[in-house]
Amino acid sequence: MPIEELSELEDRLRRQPSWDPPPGFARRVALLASAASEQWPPVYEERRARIVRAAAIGLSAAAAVYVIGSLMSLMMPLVLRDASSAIDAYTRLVELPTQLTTGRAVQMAWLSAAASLSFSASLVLHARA
Amino acid sequence: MDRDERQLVRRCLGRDEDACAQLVEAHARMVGTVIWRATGDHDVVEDLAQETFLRVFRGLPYFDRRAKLSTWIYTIAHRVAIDHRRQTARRPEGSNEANVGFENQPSSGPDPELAASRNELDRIIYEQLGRLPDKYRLPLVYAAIDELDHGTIARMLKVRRGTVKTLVFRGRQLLKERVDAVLGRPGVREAHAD
Repeated sequence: MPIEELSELEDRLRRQPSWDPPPGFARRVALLASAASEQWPPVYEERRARIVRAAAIGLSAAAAVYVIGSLMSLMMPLVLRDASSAIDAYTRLVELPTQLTTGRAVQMAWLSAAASLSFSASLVLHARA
Repeated sequence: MDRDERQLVRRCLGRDEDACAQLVEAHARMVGTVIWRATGDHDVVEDLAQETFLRVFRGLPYFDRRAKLSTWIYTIAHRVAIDHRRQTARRPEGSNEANVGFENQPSSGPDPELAASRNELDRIIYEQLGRLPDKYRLPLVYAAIDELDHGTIARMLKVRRGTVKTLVFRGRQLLKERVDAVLGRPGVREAHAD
């Protein structure tokens, strides 16, 4: 009995049965999925919170740079007050913060110790997470 | 994705077990059918369907909600079936030839001789279908599922809609040539798939 037409072949292919899930299949899969849900990636809202947190860190870093820049520009009149040339001004620019930090060496040491400690702690916390 | 589906996905993402069961219930038959047609092995369908849904739930947070949920799920089912075929093909005792789901259909009609002849033809068709390269076989078997249109098949196979039409047509021709060759029809040429 040869196949006369392509459409007959297609009809025969279409006649294949479809799969019927066994009773309780959906519930069983849902249970398995629920048990494995700890391994699921975070849902959209959680991911959004992470993105917001990352953006906040970036913004605060940018804000810190902005504040430092503003302070520097505020210092400029002091630096340039008695400067007669650009080299003179540059020397004053280096001298002024150096005088400020060396004048408070102990406080600066404590401050940098605290900063490096908190930075290390945050790195360890992130690594553990 | 309609409003109800969106709601269902949101509940699934919230680890709602009833919602997960509802999602499985809604798509299990089609997922199983896609896997059955792709692997040709009825015995593995349940396990692979289960694996498909576990992958669906794992991937749900990344699902693009502008896309059609059913198409995305069938695409995962297709990938699970293909992965299974590759794994079994790598095993030494495994055969890469799909036994594309041939089962003896109950004899219908009053003529038992005609029914037997039809069953024999079906056996040859499915045997030859299993020997077709996946490139032609998969579009052909998926196109034979009523609920899958060419657009959906194109997205599942990551090809253009026009390509699906071409592959289905070419696959059908190849299959016919091979079946006719087995049946020993005079004048048929041996088909060679690329």
